[in-house]
Amino acid sequence: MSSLQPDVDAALVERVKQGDVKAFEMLVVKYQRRIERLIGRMVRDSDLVFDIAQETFIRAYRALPQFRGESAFYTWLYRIAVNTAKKALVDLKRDPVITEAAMATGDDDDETSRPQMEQIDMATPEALLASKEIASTVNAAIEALSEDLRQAITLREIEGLSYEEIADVMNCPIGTVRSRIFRAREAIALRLKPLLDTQNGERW
Amino acid sequence: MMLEPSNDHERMLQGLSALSDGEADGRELRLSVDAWRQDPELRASWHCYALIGDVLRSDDLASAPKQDASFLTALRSKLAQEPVVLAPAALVVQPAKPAVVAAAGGSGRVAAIGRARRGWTTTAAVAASFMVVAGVSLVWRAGPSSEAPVAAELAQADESASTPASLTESGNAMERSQDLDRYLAAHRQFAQGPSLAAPGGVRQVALTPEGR
Repeated sequence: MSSLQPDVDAALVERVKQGDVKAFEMLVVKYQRRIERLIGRMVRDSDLVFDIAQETFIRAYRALPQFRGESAFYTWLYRIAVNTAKKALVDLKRDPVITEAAMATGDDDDETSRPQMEQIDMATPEALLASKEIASTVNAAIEALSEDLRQAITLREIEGLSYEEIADVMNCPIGTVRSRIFRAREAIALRLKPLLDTQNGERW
Repeated sequence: MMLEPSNDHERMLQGLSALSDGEADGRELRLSVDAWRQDPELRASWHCYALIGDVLRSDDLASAPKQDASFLTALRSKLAQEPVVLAPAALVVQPAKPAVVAAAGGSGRVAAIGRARRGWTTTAAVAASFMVVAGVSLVWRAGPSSEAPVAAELAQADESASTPASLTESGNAMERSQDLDRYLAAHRQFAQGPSLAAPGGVRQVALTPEGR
């Protein structure tokens, strides 16, 4: 995503700053998986990953008044996660070899996964299987979309283009871009929700 | 091709979709966030949209939803114990809870009660600013237009009280804020009384000035 683009989360962050805790929860739901994956590259124990991720979001919430939007919210959150994980590792006096290995290759800007650190403890084979099923369902749903919908959501989610940029690329109005992305999401969600065991979303 | 949402629920879903991309306008943002708070189905959809984006970018982010939901449940109970973050770009005041920061030591008790400053970004933290000097209060009042704040009342100034940094904020002239004026008017009573540093009447809130 271009660093010149405004932060997609700026409006939600401002809402949090106006006292809306639920807006912060929306950000948590949005980034929890990525943050856990990041921490999971530094720490192998899944319980510890959970705890560090929880602490990351609490620290972010407390520090939000000092967040001035000089970087994107997620970039700022990412740094908090890395610092929180490092601190936890130091506190717990974890295996220095693993710690050093994590830190030596711990390029803060590098989000690509490294196979040797990918041993995230998913706790149960069932959870791992459910994750694989979710991934294959999403991919199949994407393939089943019409060309327009697939292109729109791909440009947004994978290429990180703004609606305006996508409108340029696809030579259509911004309203159409917005509609296509929405309908792509809904089409995928239709296939995905049966797997998510949400029971009418009560869990949320 | 359906361009218009057929009902409120779909309109809210569209709003959430746009919001996740940072493309919702102000009104849509407010409505979507309020609706998210009320409707578990919208919350589930928001989670679903985020999950779809994550999986498109990387298969290994396809976590089971029970893990995601339990993460949020656990975090909610921690968030409930936190003081509510309040650091808006425009000052939103609640007269019942002024911000108090008691300065340490020194003769001539100086208690800087927060700080009011309008930053240049929408994410700047703003708080109200007062000065209490040796048991006498000095109340800030915003000057007209973009003038720097003018010290309104000063009685019995303590010689040892030097001008604190909050009074000479270089660069950032305070713009007139009607909210601030109302707040100051509501607290004019403190201009006569003893310092606000007395316990019981005030409480520290999570407001911090810009900068580290």
